[in-house]
Amino acid sequence: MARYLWPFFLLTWLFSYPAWGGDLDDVRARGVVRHLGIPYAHFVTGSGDGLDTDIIRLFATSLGLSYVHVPTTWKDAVGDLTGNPMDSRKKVEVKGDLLANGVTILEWRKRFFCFSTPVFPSQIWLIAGADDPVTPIVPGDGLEKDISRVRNKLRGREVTGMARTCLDPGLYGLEAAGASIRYFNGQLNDLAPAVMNKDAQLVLMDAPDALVAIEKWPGRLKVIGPVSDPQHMGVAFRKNTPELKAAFNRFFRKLVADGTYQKLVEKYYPVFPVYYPRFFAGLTGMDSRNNK
Amino acid sequence: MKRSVTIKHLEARNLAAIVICCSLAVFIGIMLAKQYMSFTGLEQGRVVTLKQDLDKRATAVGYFFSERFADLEHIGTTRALKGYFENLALGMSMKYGLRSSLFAAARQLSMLMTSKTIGRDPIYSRLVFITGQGDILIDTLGAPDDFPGFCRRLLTPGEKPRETFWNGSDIVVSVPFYFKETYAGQLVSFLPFDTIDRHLVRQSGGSSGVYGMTAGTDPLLLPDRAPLRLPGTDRITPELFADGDVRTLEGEWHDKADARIIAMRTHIPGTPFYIISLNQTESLSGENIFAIMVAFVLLIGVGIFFIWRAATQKLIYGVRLEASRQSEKHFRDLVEFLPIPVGEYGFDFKIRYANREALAFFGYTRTDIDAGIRITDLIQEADLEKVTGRIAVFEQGENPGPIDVNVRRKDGKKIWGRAIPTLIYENGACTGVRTCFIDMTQRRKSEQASIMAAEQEKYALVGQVAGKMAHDFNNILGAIMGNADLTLMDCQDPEIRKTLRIILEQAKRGNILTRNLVAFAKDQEIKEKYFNINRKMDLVLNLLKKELEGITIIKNYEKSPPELLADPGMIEHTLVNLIHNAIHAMGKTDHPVLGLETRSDGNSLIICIQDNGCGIPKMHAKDIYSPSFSLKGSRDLTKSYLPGTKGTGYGLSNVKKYIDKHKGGISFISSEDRGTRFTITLPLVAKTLLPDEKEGLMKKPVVRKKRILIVEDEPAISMVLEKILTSDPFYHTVRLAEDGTAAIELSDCEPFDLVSLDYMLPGRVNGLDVYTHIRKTNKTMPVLFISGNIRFLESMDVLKASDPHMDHLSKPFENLAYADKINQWLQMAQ
Repeated sequence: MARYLWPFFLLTWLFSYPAWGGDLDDVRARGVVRHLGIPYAHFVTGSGDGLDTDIIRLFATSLGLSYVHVPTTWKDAVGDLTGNPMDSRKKVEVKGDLLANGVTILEWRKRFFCFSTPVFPSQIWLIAGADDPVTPIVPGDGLEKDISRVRNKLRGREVTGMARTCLDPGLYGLEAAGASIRYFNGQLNDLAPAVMNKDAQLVLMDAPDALVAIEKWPGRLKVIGPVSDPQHMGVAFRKNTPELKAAFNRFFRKLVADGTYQKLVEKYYPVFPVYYPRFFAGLTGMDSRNNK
Repeated sequence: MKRSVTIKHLEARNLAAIVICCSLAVFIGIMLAKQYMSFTGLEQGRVVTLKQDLDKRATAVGYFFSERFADLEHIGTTRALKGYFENLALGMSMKYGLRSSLFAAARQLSMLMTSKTIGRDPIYSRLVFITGQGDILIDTLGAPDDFPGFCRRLLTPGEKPRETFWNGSDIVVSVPFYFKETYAGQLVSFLPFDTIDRHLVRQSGGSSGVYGMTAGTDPLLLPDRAPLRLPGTDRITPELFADGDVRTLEGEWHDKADARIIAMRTHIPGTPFYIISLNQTESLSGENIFAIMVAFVLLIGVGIFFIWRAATQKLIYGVRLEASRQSEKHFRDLVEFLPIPVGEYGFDFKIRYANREALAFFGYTRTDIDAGIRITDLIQEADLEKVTGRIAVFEQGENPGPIDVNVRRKDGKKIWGRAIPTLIYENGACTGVRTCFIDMTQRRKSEQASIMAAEQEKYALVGQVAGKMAHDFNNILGAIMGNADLTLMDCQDPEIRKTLRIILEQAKRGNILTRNLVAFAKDQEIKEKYFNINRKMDLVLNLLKKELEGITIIKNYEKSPPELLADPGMIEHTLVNLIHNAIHAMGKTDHPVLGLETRSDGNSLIICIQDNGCGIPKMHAKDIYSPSFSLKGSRDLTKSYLPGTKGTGYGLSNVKKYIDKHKGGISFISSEDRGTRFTITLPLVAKTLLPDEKEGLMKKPVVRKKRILIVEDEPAISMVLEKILTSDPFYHTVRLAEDGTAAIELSDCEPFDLVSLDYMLPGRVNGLDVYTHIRKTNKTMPVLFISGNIRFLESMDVLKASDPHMDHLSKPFENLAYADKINQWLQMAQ
């Protein structure tokens, strides 16, 4: 039986191949790169700029295409990019070609998307209001110990995060450290105000967002310490757009090589090369390796 | 005589100017001598000036340092540095968050470094924040280990004061920083001395001396450019000023070995620094005084010469200018009061001048002319090209002479006249045109009236002949045709039958010719009706359907043209004639195309008929409307028409006559072998008075609410007349009579204030009969005849002479003319 079926499978594969390989051509034929973005920190400001907005706009230009920003939400992002919403079997309209707004590369997200090479570093920090009795840790020998020091401060405290994002406390086992978990219903950008207004005791924020917040409201928020290992952010693509992803990776390497990326980082997150020198050195190394 | 007196005056003036200048020279000499005598006082004054200059420089440098203190104190108040200490107070670690705040504070210092410049040089070479513990927290140079020796005292723990001090090539400004009222550190800035020296200390001032800055306890290092050499040393030591701020020294200054040098010192406010100046001073000698005296005398001599020369030229120029002004005024006055319009314009078409008569004639004011009226604004559009062409000829310096031109007044009234130009020359170049204008309107009207009268006389003569001949000629033709027809029925010989057919055909042609001749000569009364021209055009096309076979017809009708008030029969006859001619003209055309167009411009209805046929030869253009003129048949010498195409020669003359009767116009453009386009313009008459017409009427006294009898057999016209008279602003009561009998009955039964009477009426009783009946009982009631009948019009003068209460209006007429005429008569009757 199998002997008669293999030509059928071969034909099926042959005919389905163009659907995989033609993704970049589809975008070119449409003439526009549709950037799905959620306003977040300095990645997508909502005012037409931001680190990710600028990168994707330049990417569109490099392809000779026009750029359009398609607003979305964390709830709808998966459906808007893939056509298959996370919590429904009903197909929805695909509204964008890629998702980029400081999207952390997480394992569970890889089930829905494929990610570009990392474009920015991140880490999850625990944040408290200035008046909160919990004090920031004194950093020690290693990250593991720093995380442990933070977890020791959580017993009996309420930690607020956001479901289905990198700020989900469940991802870092905080419940096991004795914290009670609460999920925030608002937008990511509202987490810091929630702490300042005492609507939340302790919140999880990713490092880029936390640094923006403490610079914006000095003396009103304090960083207690890290709860996660260093993470990376990337640009999310549909799984059936490998050519588009490859084109982006090529473009990104060029962006780093010609110094444009560093200028954008200097513009939106000038302190980050100081915090994560290894990541930025790695990017430059990646470029030099590729040049070789 | 006048000129010699002026020159005499000029010489006296010249003498006076010279005497004054010599006196001035003596006076200056005395003053210089006095100055020499008071040299000591002068020296003292110079010292005061130098001291003031030095004080100004010191104040400027002091202000510069106070600004630097303000810069550093401002940074202490900004969010960036305070934010760092806020976050530090919360216990945040550098690794998790605090480094970001420190980074922001460092960025703030870097921004200050790049933003503050003097000239193009940066003011700050380095900014450092030192904590209260004496640690360097921020260093814009990024080299905390390389901290200058004298400043290392700042790296000790504890509070330091606000101070300025000298540190080698830099001046250091240090300001304490407090966080929540507790000393938290010191903001330290390094200012390159060279920049301060170049831009502030040595900057250009009122003196050419040498300037330097010193900390008071240190000796002043003289700049390389200093021309000074003091005996035994090249330094000004602080001890020099031990007993005061001003010293006089002896030393070498440039090449002068025994120069006297004034050394001065001033404190820079708010700093421990001084500014020192060194200036050479020298005494005035007798040689110097003599040299100055000679220079002054020469200067005054030259001054006298120029005064004399300028005064002479001014006077001569003034005399000439005055004479020129008088002359110009004389001629201006002459032109201004001339009883004919005179004006001047340039080649930019702008009118430069217009005399009083010209302004009155064209209806403009002097203000309008000053505002910039152009000569082209006075010319009617039809003549614009002709006039601009003529102006181009003038510009070449040629004057071809008078030109007849249609002009328009400011109020839009059109005038026909003759412009007589002369060229204006200025400095040998032709710069414009001076022209006087003669109104030829009346003369032209008279000429046209004469031409029309002659034409009418000719038509009348032809009419008389045609009327008499037509009957007899038709009888002759009838006999020929009848007998030829009978013979043809019986005759079997082919040759004879052929001859008989020719006789019949020519007799029929003679019959058509007679009919057209009678139509031409007959003075037909216009029977006006409102109708749609597009439908009339289509009707004619339908009539000529057979002849139009094979011809492409392009219709370009206005979608909803205003209704035309005209004689439908005459218009139909006109269209038939023109289209028929077009068909004939296209007989030899491969792809004949007939174009028909209708459009309106508010005042007129325009009909265009265009063909792509053989055209009308230029030499016959002026003859085509003449009776009996034809280009077809035996007169087709160029064989432009198909064989057998014949014309009577009365078609276009009838068309012209019909259009003239409607007070319209007909014109054509034609090109041989390319076609002809006839354009007919017919006046439009609205069915009621227009708003501006009403407005015009209201400017005169309006008689209202009278009783008027309108006798008119054409309902379309009587309806319009009734509407005009019964509505705003008249509100008259109107009764209508469609024929003479009804009019007589109504006039017998009801009293009327005026009768509007059509001459041609259906039935046996015509307008004249009605008039005669009315006059039997009422001799003074105004009667207004409405007619286009020539015979009646000829008899009008006789009637008018015997009855001052009657008038007439020739058909067709404008509504405004009718309303105005009725109003005039009612006013006179009051």
